[in-house]
Amino acid sequence: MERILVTRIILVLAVLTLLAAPGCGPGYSVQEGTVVTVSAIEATATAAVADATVVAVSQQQTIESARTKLEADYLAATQQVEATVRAAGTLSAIALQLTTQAQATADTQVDLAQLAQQLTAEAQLAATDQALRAVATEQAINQAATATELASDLSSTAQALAFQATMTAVSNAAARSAFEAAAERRRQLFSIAAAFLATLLVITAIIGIVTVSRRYAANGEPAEHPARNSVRPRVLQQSPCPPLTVRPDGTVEIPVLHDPSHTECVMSADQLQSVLQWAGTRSPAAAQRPVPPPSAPVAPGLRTIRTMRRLDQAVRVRAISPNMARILDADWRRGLADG
Amino acid sequence: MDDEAILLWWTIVATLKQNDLWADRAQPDKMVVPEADALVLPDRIVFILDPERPGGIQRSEWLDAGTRARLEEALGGRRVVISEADRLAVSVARTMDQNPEPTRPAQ
Repeated sequence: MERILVTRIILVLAVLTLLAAPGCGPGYSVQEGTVVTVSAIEATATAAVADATVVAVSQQQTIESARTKLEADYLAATQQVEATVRAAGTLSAIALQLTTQAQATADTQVDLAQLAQQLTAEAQLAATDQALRAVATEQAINQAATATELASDLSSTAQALAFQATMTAVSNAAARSAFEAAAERRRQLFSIAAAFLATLLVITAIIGIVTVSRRYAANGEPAEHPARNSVRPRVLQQSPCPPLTVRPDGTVEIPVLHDPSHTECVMSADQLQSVLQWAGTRSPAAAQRPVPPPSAPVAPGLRTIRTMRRLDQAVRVRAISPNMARILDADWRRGLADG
Repeated sequence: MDDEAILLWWTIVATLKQNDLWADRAQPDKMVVPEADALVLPDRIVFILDPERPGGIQRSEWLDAGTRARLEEALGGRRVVISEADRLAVSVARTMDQNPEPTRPAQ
């Protein structure tokens, strides 16, 4: 660049020198005598100009070529720089991509590691679970076997207990029946004793009455007087004594004598006895003595127990019919023959 | 002899009314039982059943072969014969090894 500039400056100075020289240029005067000289100078100048021009052109070409070269160099350098820059960008992109890939690879490795860890953990858990299941299954099998054995034992025990409970119930029922039979016997004894005591009391009362009557007896015959009330039983006594009342069951209601004026109403023992006998024969209830109730069953469901040597005795007491006795005997003997 | 008849009778009842016995074990006195009269013979005890008071046991159940087997089992192997005449009757041997002289036929 500097060389081109120097060349141009020299060229300009040369032109200016030629123009400043006398006779040169449009303002100088042409003389006749000097025509040849001026032409030589002009030729020289022209040659110089031509030379300078050639030089300038040459230099200009050189400059142009240099500039072209510089431009080409610049362009090449620019392209190179751009290529370099592009390459650098590409490298950066590649580096970034590689970095990204490396990061992704690293992440993938991390994920794979985590996945591997998770799979390992799951595998361990699965193995543990399977082992536990296997243990549980084995335990369940053992427990099932134990339960089956226990169930079998319990079933046997339950059957034994059921039979024992049945026999216990039977034994209890038998004991209860025996107890009830004993209680019934005690009740019967008690009722007999009560009846005996009642009879004894009645006899005592009668004896007392007779004694009192003898003490306060009056001579008077009992007479039958119809009762005022027809529903009321007969009334036996002499007036104006308080009446004796005969009840439908044959008993005699004897009034208590408080009034001293009734002293003569007291009956003798014979009189009283005759009254009682009379009342006993005349009372309609006396002919219908209550029938004792049938005996209670000896055990629940078992009403009577008869002990006998043969079945015909049962027929004789009409416990069973003759036909039934025959069938019972035939069935029993047939069973013996079959057995 | 009465105790023996009562025990055998209650074994029969408990066998046939086992379900009721379990159901009514809180109130056993309220359990409805069949009624019968017992004839104690030297070799057997005959229970003559009252047809009017069957105690919830049907006639067909008495005559069932399974009932006889159950009774024999419950009575410890004693021989049981169930007869049907004008009334039902259950004859139970008094001994396990029942091989007595047959009783004289009814006259």
